[in-house]
Amino acid sequence: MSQFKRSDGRANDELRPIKAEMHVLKNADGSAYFEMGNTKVIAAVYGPREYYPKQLALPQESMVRVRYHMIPFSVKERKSPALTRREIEISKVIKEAFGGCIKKDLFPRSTIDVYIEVLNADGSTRVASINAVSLALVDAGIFLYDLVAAVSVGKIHDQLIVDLTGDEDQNSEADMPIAMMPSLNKILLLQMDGTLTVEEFNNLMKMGIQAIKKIYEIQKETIRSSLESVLKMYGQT
Amino acid sequence: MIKNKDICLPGDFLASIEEFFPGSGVYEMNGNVYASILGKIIYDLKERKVSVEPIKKPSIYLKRETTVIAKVEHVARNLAELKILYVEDTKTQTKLTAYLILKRKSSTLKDSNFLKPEDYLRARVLTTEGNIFVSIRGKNYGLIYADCPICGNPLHPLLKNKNVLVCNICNFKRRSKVSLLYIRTKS
Amino acid sequence: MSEFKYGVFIPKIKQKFILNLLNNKKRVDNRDFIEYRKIKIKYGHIPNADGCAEVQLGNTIVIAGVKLDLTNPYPSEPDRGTLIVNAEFPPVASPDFEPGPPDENAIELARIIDRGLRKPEVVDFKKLCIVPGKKVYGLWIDIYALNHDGNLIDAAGIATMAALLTAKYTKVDVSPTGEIIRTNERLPLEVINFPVYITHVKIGEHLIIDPNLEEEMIADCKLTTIISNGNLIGGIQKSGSGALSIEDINQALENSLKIYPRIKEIITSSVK
Repeated sequence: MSQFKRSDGRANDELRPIKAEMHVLKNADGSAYFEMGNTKVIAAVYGPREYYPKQLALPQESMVRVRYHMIPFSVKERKSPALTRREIEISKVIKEAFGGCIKKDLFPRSTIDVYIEVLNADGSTRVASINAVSLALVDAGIFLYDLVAAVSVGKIHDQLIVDLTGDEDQNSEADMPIAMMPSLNKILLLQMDGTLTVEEFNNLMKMGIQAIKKIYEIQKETIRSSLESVLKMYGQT
Repeated sequence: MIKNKDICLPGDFLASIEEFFPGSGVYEMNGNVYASILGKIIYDLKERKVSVEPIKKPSIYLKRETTVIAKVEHVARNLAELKILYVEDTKTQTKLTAYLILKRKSSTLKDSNFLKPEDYLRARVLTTEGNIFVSIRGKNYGLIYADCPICGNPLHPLLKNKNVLVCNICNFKRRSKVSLLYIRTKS
Repeated sequence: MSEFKYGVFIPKIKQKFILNLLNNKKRVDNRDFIEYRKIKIKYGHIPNADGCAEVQLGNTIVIAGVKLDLTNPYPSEPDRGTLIVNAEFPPVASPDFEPGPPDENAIELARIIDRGLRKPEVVDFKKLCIVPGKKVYGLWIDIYALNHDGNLIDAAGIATMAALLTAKYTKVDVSPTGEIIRTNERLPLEVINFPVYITHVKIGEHLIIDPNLEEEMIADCKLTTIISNGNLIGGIQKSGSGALSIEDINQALENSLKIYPRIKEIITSSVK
């Protein structure tokens, strides 16, 4: 093993501390807050609701729309509040990830709108967003095939690591966000940036799946612990 | 062993298809039945069916025979477009569009004043697939509130014929299908 | 923001037809599952560009142009040239493309191409530096779709690499006083890494390479793998709202590694 050590002293396959909360916003149909270390994300879900203009609604399934946005003071240098190309691309990949997980055939002609605000960015924002949206969708009572858990893995100084921070992401040789439905073993999002050999890719995939299973358990735990307040809210005991 | 009324999350394995048929709130994949929503598991041993009763239903979730309160948006020759404001007793966040078919054949409906925009109706849901259609047939269904189109004061049904609405101030009269639950305001 | 797919509507009966063909190990145009359509590359017909190439992949036509110009470096990388990739799907390419700024699909394509060029650096960006921290060469790559018949990403990737291989730029001299003088000398751009973009689509249970428009329209999802230098993965992007299994991804990587030398050979042999 080389001398490389992670700046926060984590083991290579260790996740940052995770904090998750459901139903943090009252106006949205569903909402969730997700924190991985210093990456803090809030997600709100509206819908299924009617899509306007009506003639563009899909007659057989509901539409999923996602807007991923970083607030201007979430990064070190102020970011313009307008959507950048990066944000548009991430919105698209997150939308497509959830397109494979939401049961869309139940509410035709409707739309499910997902709004993600990155409050503080410190690497792995898209996977934190996916984890937050997954909880928010459960909170909104939307029919899903499975929860979606996501994690980013990468390679830095020839070491394979899990859950990259912002600095690690900057200096990494490769980073790869993965999102999947853990109980069905289906991959919904896969992107890779950098260079890897096939062997490294396979090892990263294995590490990623292990980390995803951990996050999946945390998500389930969050839902179960928020259940009591949810049950009270909807008048069931 | 999973028991009845246990809480399940989306993606939880419930049964194999040989044991139970999939009901509502579940889906079948590769011969297994999984939950698709956060809710309570219900095993129907008589019909060998497993379903999940959602804890929180989406606001768009309408069932047949649900009573809704809706506002008339547009009236065409034989179709009225409504906006659903209340489902049962809860206010809906997202205003769904529903349609009411007007059968012009029956004599009471021939009046052009039968339905007007801004009328409030109590109706029940007929279909939820695709467009939502509602009906106002039945004693408790029909107009529950309307304003006079001339002076803007509330209309009131006549005592001897409840299907005639009259304005106490300008004596405007219109025929309609009025619900027994019409809201009488003091004026 | 909308769930929008390009191209004409494919009737259900046609979808079933394509799927049935695939089940019998056949494709609509009699190709093998991992076979590309005919690739034709045309060079240098746009003399004003520093490098350009038009690629025909079956009926898909994509044109890529390279421009090198003096610009300021990014503050975080003062001694390196800059790279900007832009893609546009103008209405000439398809009745479903609309005029206006690039939409999410065009942005995604540009960012995928960018990903393959940036991390295994396609050219030595340090060589594109003139005065560190002040003046560097900016490498602009613009990709235009001219006819959309599926698989714009691979066509764009081939066009980009072909354009970079033939690109020439004006040499500049720095005078002792620090002024920048443009010379008449034209230098070729040295390509040090060779990424190839290979797109698979998943239809039903089948993974096929280089989808045409019909196949792309009915596909569950798309997986673009970037292979650089024969044995390295230079980037991956999954798009489209379907799910993939791990075996699918491994299969796609295996196919991509197998097909890489063929595509590279086609591009390099076409350059005189």
